[in-house]
Amino acid sequence: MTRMDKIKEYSRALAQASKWHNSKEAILQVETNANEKKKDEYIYEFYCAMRILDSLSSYYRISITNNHLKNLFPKAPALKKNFPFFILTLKDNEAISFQFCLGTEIIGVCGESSAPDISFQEANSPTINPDHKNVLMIFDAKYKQDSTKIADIEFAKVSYMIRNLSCEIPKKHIKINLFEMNDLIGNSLITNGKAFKCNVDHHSLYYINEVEDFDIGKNFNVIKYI
Amino acid sequence: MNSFVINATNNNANFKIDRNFLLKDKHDGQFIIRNNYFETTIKEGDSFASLKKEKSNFLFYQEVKMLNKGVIQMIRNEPDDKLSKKEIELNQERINEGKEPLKYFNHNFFFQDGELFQKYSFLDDYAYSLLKVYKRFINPIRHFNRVVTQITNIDFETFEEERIFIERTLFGRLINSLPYENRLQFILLSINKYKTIELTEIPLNEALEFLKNFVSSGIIKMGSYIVETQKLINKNAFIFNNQTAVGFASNDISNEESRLTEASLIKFADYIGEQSKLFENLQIIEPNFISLFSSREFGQLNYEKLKFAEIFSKRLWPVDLTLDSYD
Repeated sequence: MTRMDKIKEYSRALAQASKWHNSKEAILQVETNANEKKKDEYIYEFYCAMRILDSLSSYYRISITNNHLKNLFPKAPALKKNFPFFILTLKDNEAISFQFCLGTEIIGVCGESSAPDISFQEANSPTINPDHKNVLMIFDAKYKQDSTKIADIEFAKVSYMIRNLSCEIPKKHIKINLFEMNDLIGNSLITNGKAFKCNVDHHSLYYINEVEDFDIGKNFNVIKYI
Repeated sequence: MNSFVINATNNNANFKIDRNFLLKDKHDGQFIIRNNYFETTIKEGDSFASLKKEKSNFLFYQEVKMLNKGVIQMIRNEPDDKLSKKEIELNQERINEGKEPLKYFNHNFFFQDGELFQKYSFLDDYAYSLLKVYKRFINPIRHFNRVVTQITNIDFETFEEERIFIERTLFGRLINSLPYENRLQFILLSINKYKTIELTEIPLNEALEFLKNFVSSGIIKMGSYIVETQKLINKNAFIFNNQTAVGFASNDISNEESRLTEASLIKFADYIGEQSKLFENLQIIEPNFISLFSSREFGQLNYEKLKFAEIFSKRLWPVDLTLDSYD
C-alpha cells in the first residue's frame, strides 16, 4: 500500500470515527451560543465516572438501578428519574451505602436546580426530584483541550453549585471511604488539565478540591481543602 | 492548444486502445463520442485526460480512475444514421410538433503516444491539485460530469506529470475527514488564532500543523477516552449485569416524560463499545497519525512545491462546505 493509499484509508476511517455511529453527531463538541443546555464533554465525564467506579469496585458492591433505559446515559444534565444510577454498598459493612449519580438535576436550597456531573447521594435519596438534603458531596469534571489550566469561571461554576446544594461540609452521618481515591473526598473539580490554583487555603474558602492530571495513564494530583 | 477531460465512466465515450502494451509504454487508440452536434469543441492537437469507473481494492463501491492521457492526432466526424428505437420515436414526435428531427454524429478522436496513469491513478488523488476543483473537494467528479470538460493547460500538465500538491492534499484530506461542524469550528479557531480573515495569508504547512494539533487533542483524544471507558466497562461488567453495551441517549429524548419503547432506544442510542471499535480501527491503520500526515515523507521536489504554491496562491483553503463525507 502506498503512502497515499494509507492516507486515503485513514481519512475514511477518521470520517467514520469522528461521528457517533448511530446519531451521527460529532464526537468533538462544537460550542454554539444557541445551545441552552450545553453538552459539556460528556465523554470525558463518563470516563471519570467509570474510573472512579472501577477504583471502588474492589471494596463496594455496585449495582445499576432505575435502568429502564438499559445502560443509556444522558449527554446533557437530565432528570434523575429518566436515567440509570448506581447503588454502592460497602462489602465489609452493609450499613454503609449510598447512590452514585451521573448528571442528575438536584433541587437547590431556594428551589433552583443544579446538575453536577457526579453526585454522591444518600442511599434513600428519591428517584424523583432529589434535593440538596439528599446530597453528600459532588464532583464535577472539566475537560481541557491541550491540558491547560482550569479557568476562573469554571472554578466559580463549581463553587456556585456547592453553595446552591449546600454541600460545603460533607455530611458526617455517612462515612464514605474512597480508598485509593480518598483524597477526592469532599467536593472535587476533576480535570485532565491543570488546577486553577495550587493554594490549599484559597480552596478552603470555596470547599473545592482540585484534581489535576486525571487522565489515561497518568497519576492524578489533588489540591485538597479538607 | 486546449486541454480536456473526457468522462468515459458511463460509456459515453467509447475508448478503443489498439494493441497490447506494457504499462510504461505509450499506446495508440481512439475514442468515439456520439452526440447531436456537427462540430467538436476538441480540435486536432488538443490534449486530453480520461476517466473511467473501476471497482476499488479497498471499498465496496466503484471509484473514478484515471484511464489515460494523450494528444489528439486526428478527428473524423461522421453522421450516424443508425438510431435507436427511442431516438426514432423521439424524432417522430418532433416532426409531429413541427420541429426538426435530431441528427446524430459519431466523433472519432484518434490519438498517438497515449499514456496510462501509473503513479497517481485516481481522480481523487488530484482533488487538491487542480484549479478546476475549487469546491466539492470530497467528490471531484462533480466538476467533470459532462462527457467533455475543458481544463486549463496548467491542470493538464498536472495530469501529464502525475504530480500532486502534497501539502494542500494533506491539509484538505484531513480537514474534510472531519464532520462538517468541526470543519467550520476549525476555520473559526484559525481566524481567532491568526487574527485574520484572510486565511490564505497563512502558509499551508503552518495551517496543517495547527489542524493536526486540533484533530489530535480534540477528536483522537476523545477516541482514547471512549476506548479506555469501554475497557473499564468490560472489566467491571458485573456492575451492568454483564450487559456491556453501554452508551448515551440522544438529547432529543433525554427528558421525555413517558417511558420509551425498545425500538426508539435502539434507534437513538450511541454505544461506547461500537464507537470504540471505530477508533481502534484508526489505531490499526496508523498509530501515529501526526507522522502520517507529514509532507516530509513524500519528498516532494522543491520546484514542484514552489510551482504549486504559485498556482494556488490566490485560492482559499480547500475546505469542503457541503455535508459530503469521506466515509
